[in-house]
Amino acid sequence: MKKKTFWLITMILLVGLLLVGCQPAEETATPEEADAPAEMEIVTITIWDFGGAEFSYLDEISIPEFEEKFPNIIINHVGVLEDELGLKIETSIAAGEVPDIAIFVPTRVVAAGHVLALDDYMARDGIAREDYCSLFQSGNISNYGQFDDKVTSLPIDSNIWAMVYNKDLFAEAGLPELGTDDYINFETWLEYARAIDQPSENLEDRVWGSNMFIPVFNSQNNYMSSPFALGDDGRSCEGNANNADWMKAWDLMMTAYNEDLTPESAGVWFEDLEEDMFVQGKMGMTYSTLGDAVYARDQGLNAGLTGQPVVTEGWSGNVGGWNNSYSIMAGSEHPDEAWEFLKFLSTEAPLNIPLSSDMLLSDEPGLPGLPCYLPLHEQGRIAELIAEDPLVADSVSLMSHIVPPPFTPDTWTSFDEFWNVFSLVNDEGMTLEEAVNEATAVCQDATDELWEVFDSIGQ
Amino acid sequence: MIERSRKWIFPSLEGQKRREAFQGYLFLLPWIIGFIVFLLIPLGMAAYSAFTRWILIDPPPRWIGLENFRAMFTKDKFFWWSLGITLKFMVMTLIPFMILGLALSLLLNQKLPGMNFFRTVFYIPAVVSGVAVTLLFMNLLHPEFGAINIFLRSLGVADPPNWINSPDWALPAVAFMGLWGIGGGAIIYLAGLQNIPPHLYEAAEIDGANSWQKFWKVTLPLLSPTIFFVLITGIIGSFQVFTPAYILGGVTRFGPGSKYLRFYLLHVYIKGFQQGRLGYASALAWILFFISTIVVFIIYNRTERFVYYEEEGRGSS
Amino acid sequence: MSQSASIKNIEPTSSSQIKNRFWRRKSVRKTVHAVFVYSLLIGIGILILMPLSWMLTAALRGRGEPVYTLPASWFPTESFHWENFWTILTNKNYPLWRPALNTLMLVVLNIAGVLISNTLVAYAFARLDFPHKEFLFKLVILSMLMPGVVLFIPSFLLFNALGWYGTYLPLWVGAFFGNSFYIFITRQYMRSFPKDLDDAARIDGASRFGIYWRIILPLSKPVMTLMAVFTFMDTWNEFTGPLIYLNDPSKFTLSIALNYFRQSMFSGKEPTTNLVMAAALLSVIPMLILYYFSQEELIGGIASVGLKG
Repeated sequence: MKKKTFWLITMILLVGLLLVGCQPAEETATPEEADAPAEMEIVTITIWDFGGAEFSYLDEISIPEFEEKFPNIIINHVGVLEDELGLKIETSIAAGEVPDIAIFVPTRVVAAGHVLALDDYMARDGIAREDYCSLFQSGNISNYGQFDDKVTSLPIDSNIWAMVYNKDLFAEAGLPELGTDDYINFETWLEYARAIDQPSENLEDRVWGSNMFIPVFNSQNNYMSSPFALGDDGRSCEGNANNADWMKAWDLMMTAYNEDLTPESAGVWFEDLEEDMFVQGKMGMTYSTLGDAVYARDQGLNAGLTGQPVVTEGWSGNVGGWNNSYSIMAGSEHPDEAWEFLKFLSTEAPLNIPLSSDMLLSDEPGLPGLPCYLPLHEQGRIAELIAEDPLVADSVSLMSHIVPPPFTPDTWTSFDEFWNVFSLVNDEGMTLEEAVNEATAVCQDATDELWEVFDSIGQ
Repeated sequence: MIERSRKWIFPSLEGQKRREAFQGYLFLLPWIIGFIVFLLIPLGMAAYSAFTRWILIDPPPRWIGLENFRAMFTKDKFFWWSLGITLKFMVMTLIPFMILGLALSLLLNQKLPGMNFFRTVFYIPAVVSGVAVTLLFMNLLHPEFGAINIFLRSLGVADPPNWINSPDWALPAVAFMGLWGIGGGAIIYLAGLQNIPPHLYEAAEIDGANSWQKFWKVTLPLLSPTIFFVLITGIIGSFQVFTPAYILGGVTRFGPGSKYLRFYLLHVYIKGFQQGRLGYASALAWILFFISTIVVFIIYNRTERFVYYEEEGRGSS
Repeated sequence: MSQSASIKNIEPTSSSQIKNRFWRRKSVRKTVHAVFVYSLLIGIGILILMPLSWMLTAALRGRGEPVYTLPASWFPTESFHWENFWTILTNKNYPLWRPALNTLMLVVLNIAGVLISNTLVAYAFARLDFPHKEFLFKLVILSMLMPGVVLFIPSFLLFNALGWYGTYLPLWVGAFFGNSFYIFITRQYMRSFPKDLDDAARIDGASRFGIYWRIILPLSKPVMTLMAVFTFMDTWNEFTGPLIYLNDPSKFTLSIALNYFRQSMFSGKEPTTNLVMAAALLSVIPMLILYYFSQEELIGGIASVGLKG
């Protein structure tokens, strides 16, 4: 046995050595290089985003299109796990091995000056800030791409986080049709959810009133209050995320939870089966993008788009928004070529990228919203969509409802703790008020820490 | 020339001996280089950085004295929390696992055919990678559809725990995963058991001891070095839990990342890499080092007198 | 003693006395004992193997089939989609054959480094004499106790400064510089060889290195096998190293590839638990094979570690 093992190991060693010899070959040559004419210098641009189905449109549509136009540029698309992206960007900066282009560069990285200002390129190529959608004009870094009055990233698309609802279920329950001009608050939301909910022992007949609208990343309704849940300076959870309006909203959410009107009561977070239930007609309302609404409709659902429930009575900002924006890293060795690709992505590529679901992330490559570059709204496929597709037209009008919140270094980390409110109440026996205050306290600590690091950058 | 340089390095030795010494150090070179480059230098950096504000993307580091430690004890909510989680886990798993491992090894030590086969089977979980185990148990412990909860429900348990998502059962879930790998510890005990000279048992039987007495008077004392070893490594190991904590959602930004699985090492990772606060994370790492050393020291002092070394008798030093 | 029936007077015995004597017979006790032990062992064995069998069952599920069933299925009885294994290796989103090969390459490098460096250093401690030998060896032992925690971050900074971030280098170069634990056990092993071998060879004019290469090393095959097996296991299963130093998915090793695979597949419409389980199983199989072949060394090695403890 011992001798056999020894020789087994030796054999593995030999095989492995062969592999070691083969390794470098994989990384250098690519098929396109062989085709390119000998005189052209091949430049490889590395672009980082989350990869996977969400960004498959790059691999399937945009990169081939671009590489045909620019045969001397090869795009290396790397997918980094969402949770790791910020970390990887930062460690790559520390290591001096940055990608040329990256998505969602963390605000403190931008503040530390590791991202190129794009204004000169834009001026040279005739692209103005005003050409971009309202979301981009808000001027703060998180998602919107401007810092210190310089443009630090360009958006590809402009996505709404609105509410998509099942018109048939609404009609069945005797509820009115909601349009882009309608505003509902959480009381109305609860009422509707109750009317739609159809309890049942088995999954086939079960219909949920609604998805749960917790003020964290998935519903983004932390915008839906005035003042903003982090205050006007983006620094204060205390007093803003737990004010009377929010307490009332939480109370209503909790009621919905206790009455089992939402799938969250099952306490199941992963597998993301909830979104699928909407498309199957088993849920009355959910948060989503335009792409999700269109997808649902294409699956045969009678889908309608409207705003999310607001927390503050009379507040006009009942739609959240975000865009996929990429920056060029300051350490890039080929900024000019990187700019060509970024410009292409932002101002031309969306014409050929279809709409597709974001939350459900079907296998179809696509974007969940319209391009942010406004001149595209009057061209080709996009113009047709806006003119002919009612959902698309609705999304354009809902976009004008977005009131971008004040800048804060990292909204998601600040609001993360609110995921736990329900378990704090149900599992740890707190009252709702205690739970929300507890979450707010953690939010405050996290926000303070984020600001501390952010403020100390460049000191 | 070589002779002269050797003479210079080892002036006090003569000819042959000198050559031997030189060659000795030559053989030793890889380790010496490794020790300096991969141990001493990082250790020095670790010591230095703990007293600095060192942001990953905004070097250079800046000396701030004890500020990191002050912030740790007063402002960092998760510091005490993660320490608590880690210690809770240690208390939850250390003694039960040791007892179970011992019991299992006693079982495997029977003079019956086929023990080797069982030993092989029981050790399998120990060779499976942490990632694979975590993914596997993530599925088995799914609150709604996981096989474990389905089994519990079939036994009549009305409301089986939410495992990873619940405050009370998240740690037990990780403990459960560790329980699956109990064979690892059992093997070590087994070796110790098989090392006990059989004549001691025979002598005990002649003196009229029954199984229970044999266990207490012969097995346990002679097994005590092994038990001691398992105890110490168990303590050190429980301070270094990382993979399950990371994968099961201690880190995610976009999700309910369970704070109940925020083990200390995960906290260091989050502070150091996710938030890029290297100086602070270094300080955290040192605290962990000190705490685990102190714990080991205390346990060592308390229990060393119980450890019985065959040659020396009780409580050697 | 239980054969006392023949010595005693012939008296009428009651049934309970007969029963007692039955139970007191050594062979009966032994059988009961054996049954008890075997049933416990079999029971535990089943409990240990069940999760793996569940993994196999899930891995063999077809696309769209529910992985979670009611009641839970512990054995593959319905679906046998063996092609899942092929799918994970060759699918277009993230094929796993590359991480598998990457990991294999790292394993080889690490084993080579471990075998070379540790035997060299242990030989010096075991067979050669030089000043400060005792002190240095104490350092070796001391460094065994060094916890990785403290070195976690500075190692990153060190490798950063060397420009090794994003490469494989931090994951194998260290193996070529010795590992205190392996040095310790190898030295112990080498010390057990009779010194006469060395002396005889020296008389024949062999150099120190010659002795090492021709005599000591071949004799050390068992401990070398042990180190190789351990290193294989450690490298194959390593998670935190690759996590920190690798950011290009095409360079990933199996352990982080699994995690990446799981998270990137999860964002699709259909849950892909079956594929994730298949991937996990596939990553486990090489280890199981290695384990099967090297049980003796592995378990023996661990045992001796515990004894030295």
